[in-house]
Amino acid sequence: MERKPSSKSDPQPLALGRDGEAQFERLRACLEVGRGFELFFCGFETPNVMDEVRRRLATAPPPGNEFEALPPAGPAVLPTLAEHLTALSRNAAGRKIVFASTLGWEEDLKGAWAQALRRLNERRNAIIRDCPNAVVLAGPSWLPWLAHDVAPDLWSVRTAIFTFPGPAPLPGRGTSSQIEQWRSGLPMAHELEAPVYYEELAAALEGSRRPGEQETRGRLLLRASAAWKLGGSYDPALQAATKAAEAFAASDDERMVAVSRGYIADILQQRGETDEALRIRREEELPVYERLGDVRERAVTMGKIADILQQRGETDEALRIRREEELPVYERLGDVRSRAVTMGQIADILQQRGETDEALRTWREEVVPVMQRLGDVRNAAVAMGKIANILEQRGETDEALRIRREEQLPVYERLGDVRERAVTMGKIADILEQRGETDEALRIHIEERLPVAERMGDVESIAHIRFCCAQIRLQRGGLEKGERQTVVNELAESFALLKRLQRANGVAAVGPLLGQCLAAVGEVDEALAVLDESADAFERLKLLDQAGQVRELQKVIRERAG
Amino acid sequence: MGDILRDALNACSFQSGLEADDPWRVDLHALGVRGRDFDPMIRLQTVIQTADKPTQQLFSGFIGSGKSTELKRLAANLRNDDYTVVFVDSEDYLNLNVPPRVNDLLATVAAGVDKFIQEDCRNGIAGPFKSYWERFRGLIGSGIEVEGLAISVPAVGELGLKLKQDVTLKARIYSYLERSGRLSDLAQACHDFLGEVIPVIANARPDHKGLVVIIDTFEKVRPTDLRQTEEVRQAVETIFIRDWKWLQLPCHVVYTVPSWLTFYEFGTGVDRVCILPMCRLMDRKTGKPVPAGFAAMREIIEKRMPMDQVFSDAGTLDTLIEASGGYPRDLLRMMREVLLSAAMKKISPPIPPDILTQLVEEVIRDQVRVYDKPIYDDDLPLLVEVARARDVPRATRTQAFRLAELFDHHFVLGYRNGEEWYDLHPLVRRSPKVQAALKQAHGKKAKQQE
Repeated sequence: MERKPSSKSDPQPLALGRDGEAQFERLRACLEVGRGFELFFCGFETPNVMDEVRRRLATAPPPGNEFEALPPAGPAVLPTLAEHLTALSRNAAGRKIVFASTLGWEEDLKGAWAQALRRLNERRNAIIRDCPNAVVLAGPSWLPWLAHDVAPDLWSVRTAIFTFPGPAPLPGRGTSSQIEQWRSGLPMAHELEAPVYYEELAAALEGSRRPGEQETRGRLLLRASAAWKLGGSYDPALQAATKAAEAFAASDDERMVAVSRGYIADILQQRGETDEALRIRREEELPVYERLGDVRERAVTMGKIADILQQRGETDEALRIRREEELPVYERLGDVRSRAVTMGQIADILQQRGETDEALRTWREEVVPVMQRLGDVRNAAVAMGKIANILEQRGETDEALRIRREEQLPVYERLGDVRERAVTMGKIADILEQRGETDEALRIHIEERLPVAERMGDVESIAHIRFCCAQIRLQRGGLEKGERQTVVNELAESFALLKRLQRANGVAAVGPLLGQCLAAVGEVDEALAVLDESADAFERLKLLDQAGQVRELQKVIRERAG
Repeated sequence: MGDILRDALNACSFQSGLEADDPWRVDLHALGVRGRDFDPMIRLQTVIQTADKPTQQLFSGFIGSGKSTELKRLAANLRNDDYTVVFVDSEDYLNLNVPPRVNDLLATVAAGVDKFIQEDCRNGIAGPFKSYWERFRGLIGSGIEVEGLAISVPAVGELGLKLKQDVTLKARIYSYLERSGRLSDLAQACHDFLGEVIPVIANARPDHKGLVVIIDTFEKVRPTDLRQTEEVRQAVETIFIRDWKWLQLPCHVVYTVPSWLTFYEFGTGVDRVCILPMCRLMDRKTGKPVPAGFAAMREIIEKRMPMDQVFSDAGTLDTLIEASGGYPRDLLRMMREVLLSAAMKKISPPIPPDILTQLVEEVIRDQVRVYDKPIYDDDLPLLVEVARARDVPRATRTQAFRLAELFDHHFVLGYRNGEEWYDLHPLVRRSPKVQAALKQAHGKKAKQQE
């Protein structure tokens, strides 16, 4: 998420320190005496200083100049800079100072600036001709040197370069609390929805010889992979992660190769290929972290192995790993948050094994208080949600509903987390459904959850919502009340989306219901085919009992059909 | 800040391609500091003036060495000699970030000439003459289908702009023509168009000696997507080597090309690329200063400001001139910084010599840092080789590209007196990284001799 310029919330001017003030004074003098087109590169060690320089120029532009800043729309705006500069009005009184800067993740900024600079390089003559203004390209400290490398024609017409150090320490308070890193926010939603965006940024760095840029490219590819995965496009997600691994391998970055392979394992795990996912974790990730002596990463990877085992129902070994391989490491490292997270995962396994008392105790005593003490309201709310899950499972729906409405929803609303809010609304709908309040449950799924999932391109949630709606309709006797086709359509859409997502567990779970509904409407062949896919999915997940039950169901349908 | 310093400072700001009659222009060739024996513009001009058929010539030079200014001089000289000269900025018609094809370059020539005749030779245009873009659209039609996709071809008035902006549209049109075996029709259409333009110009300017098209800024072709670097290089090679026959147009054409093509030997009919050197400030063999070079660079400053009113003693500026390596943009940039510092320190002009010395030293120190920072370790062996031989190795294609990058960044500058020679930019030579590499190389050599 775009970080707001600190100047808006903080009326106190930021001291730039001796060198920084000298640089600013020189920049201001340049802008004051200059005429016509001039090009300045400004590199900043921290965004706060950049904000301050922008603020000072905006509030008191040097005489004869009018200040104009690029819209703060994140790195995506940079590649259009050339067009922006040539389209600027020439009739404005005096000269403009065009301050082009933006915030964002460092990897995004590098890729976007590289693209922008190459375009400016190509359009150099037109810009000089059509933009009789002072152009200030402002960004992280590497910006001028990136321009040198990728835009030599532009570089040759530079007027001056300014490098601004971090802000001055405040007397008696150590370093200014206003210092923030460039990596200051979460990615914006539109970026998560657009993996191509990351791939294009990564492409801008392909072949670059500048030190560290292949690693940057690798990280962008990993983000592209994550974004593809979020949208359920597993093949491109795998390709991006594979390319990232290759980029890191070319830079001899063993750790990041392992991390990239971990991304691949995540994707495989999600689409049910747990054997290969386990092999990668055990044979390609673990040995690297062990060789590097990285006990934390080893513990994290062991945790991911436990995730897979838990998914396959191998809860004894999963529990052993959590208790013996993970917990002691976090305790030794004094990492209370990771310990609490692991305790929560242990509670999940206990719940899965039906040991709900111990699971409840763990959440209440080992997790929630820790998160609250750490001020982590989001994770405290998530933990409360887990408690509600168990209560709901035990039929204590009043308390479960209260937790959802009073302990979870307000937190997500306060944090502006629309996704988590929608998920919680879905859980409320589940409880209402359980209590027979099916109309309200259906309304929540369709009116509160679906629009958010559609807006975010969250295909998995859409599949889940369709499945939930069908279940509610079935519960309220929809088959008999003229909703037969709607139910079949919803289940079929959910099934198709899950197949597209290659979510074996989803295909396995939705298949039996869809199969039975299809059989009920006389589509026997289709029903049997769907059940076949469901049974295959259960088998792939090593859940052989469930697979057997689906095969049994097929037998019954065949017998009934004669 | 006083007006004198402010005016002097602004006079040192970047000026794009000075016209031949611009009062600030200094003719470095006439002063003999770019090689008395060889003036690329006179050579290009002479080839055109003495040829008995249309010529195609390639021209290159360092960024900021004054290519555009020199090409404008060429244009002015040829116009004075009654040639019709069309000066085309490739940037106006071509997307220089994607691999070019010979058709793109031909279209740039045709579109530039088209614009010229529509503006300047309307009276020579007879009845059925069609503009280049009318022909282009006529060849393609109003709509095409590529791989099942229906594409409408933009109207004549917006076709040029759309083809520049929309890379996909152009690729689809090329693909459409290629599949139907008609891609060469496009090149032929350019030839046909220019074939008809020649008489149109002759009608409008009966006494002119011929049409000369100067294609500027094509040397800036480089991809935004680095994956395409090799593709772009190969595309440029293909244009000037394999497709050369298509460039043999019915008029004289001068193309500016990327500097790495100066290392290529072309086949019959193509001269080696003419390259524009920097102003020579020292003798290659003795390393002694060349007074004429210093005088020429000083003249660049003198034409921009009243020296006696700005400086008490301009002699100190020789240090600044020497540090510029004969690269005018660097000299003006450093001069600007000196004047800004003086203004900020509230020094009233004329600037006294002791203060000027101090300001010059500060600016040079600062500019050494600017050159030092972006030097890669793996560039150092090549830089050491250039520093020692005062020349560039011409071995492999890959090395040519590496050198071209060093040229683009002005780490290596080219000079001429009797022969072409190269040296490190003086600010690069002073860089701590290069100094250390030179010292190390010297130590190795001494050890080998022992």
